[in-house]
Amino acid sequence: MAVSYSRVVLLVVLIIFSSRAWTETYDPFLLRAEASIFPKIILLDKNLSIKAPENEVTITIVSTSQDDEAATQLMYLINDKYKNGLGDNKLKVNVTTFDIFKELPLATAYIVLQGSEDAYKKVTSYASSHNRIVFSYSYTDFIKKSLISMLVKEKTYIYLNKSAVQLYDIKFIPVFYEIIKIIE
Amino acid sequence: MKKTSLSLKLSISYIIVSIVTLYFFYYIFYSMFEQHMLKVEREKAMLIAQTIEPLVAMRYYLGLKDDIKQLASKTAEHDQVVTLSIEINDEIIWGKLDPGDKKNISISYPVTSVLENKKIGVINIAYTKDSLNLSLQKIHNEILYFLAALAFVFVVYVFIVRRLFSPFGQISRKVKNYSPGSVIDFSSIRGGSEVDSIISAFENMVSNIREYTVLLERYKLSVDESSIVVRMDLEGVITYVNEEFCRLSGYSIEESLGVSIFEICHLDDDNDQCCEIMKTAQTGKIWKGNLQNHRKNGGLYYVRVTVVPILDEKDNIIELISIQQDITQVIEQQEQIVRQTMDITTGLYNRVKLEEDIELIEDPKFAIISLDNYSVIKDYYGWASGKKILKEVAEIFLSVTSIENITVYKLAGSDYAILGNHIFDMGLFHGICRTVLEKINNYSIHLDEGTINIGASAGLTSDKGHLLSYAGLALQHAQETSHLTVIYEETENLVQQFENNLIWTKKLNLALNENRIVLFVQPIFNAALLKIEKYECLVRMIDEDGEKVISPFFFLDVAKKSKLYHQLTERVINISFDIFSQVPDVDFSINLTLDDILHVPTVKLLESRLNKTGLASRFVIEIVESEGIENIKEVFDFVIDMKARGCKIAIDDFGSGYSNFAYLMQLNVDYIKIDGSLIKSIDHDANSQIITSTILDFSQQLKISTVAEYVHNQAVLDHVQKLGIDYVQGFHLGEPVPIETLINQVPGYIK
Repeated sequence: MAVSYSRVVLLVVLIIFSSRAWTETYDPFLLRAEASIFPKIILLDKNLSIKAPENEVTITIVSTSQDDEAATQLMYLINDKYKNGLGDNKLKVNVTTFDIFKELPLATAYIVLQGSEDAYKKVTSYASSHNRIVFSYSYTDFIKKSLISMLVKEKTYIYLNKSAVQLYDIKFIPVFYEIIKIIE
Repeated sequence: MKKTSLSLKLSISYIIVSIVTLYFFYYIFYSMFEQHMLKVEREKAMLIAQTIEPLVAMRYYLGLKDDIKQLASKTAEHDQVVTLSIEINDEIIWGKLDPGDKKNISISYPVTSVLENKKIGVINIAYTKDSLNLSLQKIHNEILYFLAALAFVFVVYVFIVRRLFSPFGQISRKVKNYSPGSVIDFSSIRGGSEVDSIISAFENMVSNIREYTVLLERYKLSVDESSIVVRMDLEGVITYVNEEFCRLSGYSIEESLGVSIFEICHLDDDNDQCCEIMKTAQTGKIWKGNLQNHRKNGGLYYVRVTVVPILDEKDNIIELISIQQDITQVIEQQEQIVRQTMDITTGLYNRVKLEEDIELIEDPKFAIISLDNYSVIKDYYGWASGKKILKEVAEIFLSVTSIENITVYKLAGSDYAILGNHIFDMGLFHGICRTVLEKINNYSIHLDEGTINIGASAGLTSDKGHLLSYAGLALQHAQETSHLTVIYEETENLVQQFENNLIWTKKLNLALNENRIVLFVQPIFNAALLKIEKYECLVRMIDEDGEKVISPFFFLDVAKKSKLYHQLTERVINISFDIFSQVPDVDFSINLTLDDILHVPTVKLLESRLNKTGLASRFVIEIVESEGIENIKEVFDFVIDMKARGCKIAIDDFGSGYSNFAYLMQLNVDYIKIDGSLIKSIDHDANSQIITSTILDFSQQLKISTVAEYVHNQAVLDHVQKLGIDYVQGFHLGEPVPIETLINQVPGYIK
């Protein structure tokens, strides 16, 4: 309980003392929602067993170097949320930048924060070529061929980029398609 | 009470059946429909739950509880959903737990984990029945409309049916009061061809009934006129009697009605016949039999009764009818016939019945059995004892012959008869007869005077044409030859003997009438002096030509059998006394048998002649030996009487049969005439000599004179003289000569 409390304090401190840049760009509530929902969506992939060797789900968060704090913040949130593992799987979250993301081993899924279109597409093309899910922070990035994104308003919306579905060729369990919004 | 018409019954029953059937189908289909609708509504509720469940599960998985609430809120807005609650992992996400309401359909649908097939919660939906109730109400209304329409159809149907059936009602009203013999007019009734057919059938039926009624009336008249008719209920209580019953019983109709038939006929209810009649009738069967009834005045009458149970259309017995014929006269005639064919003393059938039976039987076996000496016993012991003997002997017969196919009869006197049919061969029948005879012979009859044994003998035959005569001849032969039984067919010349007897009987009768019965006398000599001292009178017959003298050998037995014997004896007495009253100084003897001594007229005649002639001192009575003669009181009294008169008594043919020295003393005889069979061979036969010597010794001791008969030569004469016999008689000394010669031989004797 004490540990949990210190983490909350740390999180508040981080929020208060983080730079104005990322706090103005990234909605902390959306990040928290994404930290909670994106890993679960990974588990809805029918071919997860191939993509998570030895039951270890690896999530690589890709951002620009400027958004490193936001990425780290997201990593912390995910690790905090799934500190006991993701379902029956172990969970490993990496943080990297667009420049070097390929240096890391192929992840189970990628969460891509904001970035240039070119840099962005490198990740999406790399991930889609390996049938890995690419979550984008904002569904506006669907144009950059990310697959899934979220929006938190009066309620939480999960979006699926229809134009990218064939690109990624990822099979989710059917009911998933019933609760998401599909965007052309 | 007015009965409901057939048309109404038909209509009502049709309506009832239809309503019940409709209600049944309504109930079945309504229930099925209700169940089906309920199922559909439940499936609808389930479909809602099924629809939202994966969404709820996925949202819950993704942690989107607000989405779940929003989804639940939207779902709860559904018209038919009354309440909705979602509970996952013991957390009520939406709504509240509904305890359930019977007005609604409550379903619970499990929420399954997205990743694992594991129940994590439940969706509870209370689904309204309003839609269901509305549908059911519609169905109700439809059915009611249908029933209302049906009711109208039924009313129309009833009207039509009643109209169609109205001719039948008219027919029934006309037929209702129909009585056999009356006429029914159906012309006013209009209807279809079927009604016309029925009317035609009714008219035929009425016509037939009229014919049968007339016939029945004639039958009833015939029965009433010829028979006694009594109708009664099942308890035997009379409900109808005809005049014939009243005439015969003496009871009036008023006295008879309401009274038990058994009471009025004086029959005991427990009487076997009454029970049998009622039992038979109550089983629906016809009883037939004869009854003995009592008239009102107590007299008897007999009826042949047929009791017929009368059945209703359901075969229930409603009454009994008794048709009776008066058979009193027939019964009385039968009893008369029985009396005529029955022997009153023994209860056996008599000769009348025997002759009837003989006519009917084929291959008969027949025997006449006669008691020995019955007439003597009856005379001696009296009629009562005689009847007792006959009865007891009859019982012996019945005890031995109480088998089928054999009948015993009582004939005249002491004669009985047994008649067997073809089942018996003569051997078996003969055996039965011998058994009867042996029983009779071994049977002791106890009379007041003492116990006596009787004997019997039988004559048998199987010749149907001559049963009585041949059996009689055989019996006669058995009696004469002292045989127990004689079978006619096994004995030769019986008929010839019988015919011979008839001839000689006729000759004897003629001879008696024509005075051709004469006496011969044979002299009896003093053996020592060879001087005639006596004559034995011997009977002879002169033939019709007056030339030939016939020995008594030919006619004496016939005379005994034909009741001419006593005439013969009387002739001998009269002639002998007539002659010897004219011949002085010489004794004379005549032969008398037991029958003569017991025959009172003969004895009276003898006494008369003795009294009138005074020849008693010269008169010798030769009595022929018979078994037991000394024990008969009449003989004893006769001998005493004759001796008292001065007569002498000789025993004839002594030594021939029953030789009994005791009665020589008892009867106090004067002479013994030694039988010729002993004398004729005495000169050379040692046995004859010994017997004769013994008789002689005994006689000499008793001072009884002896006479030797059959002295036929000098040697015999010498021998008897040598033995010391007092008198001799025989052809060697003097042959029998007509008695009249005695008068001729004595000069001066009056002829």
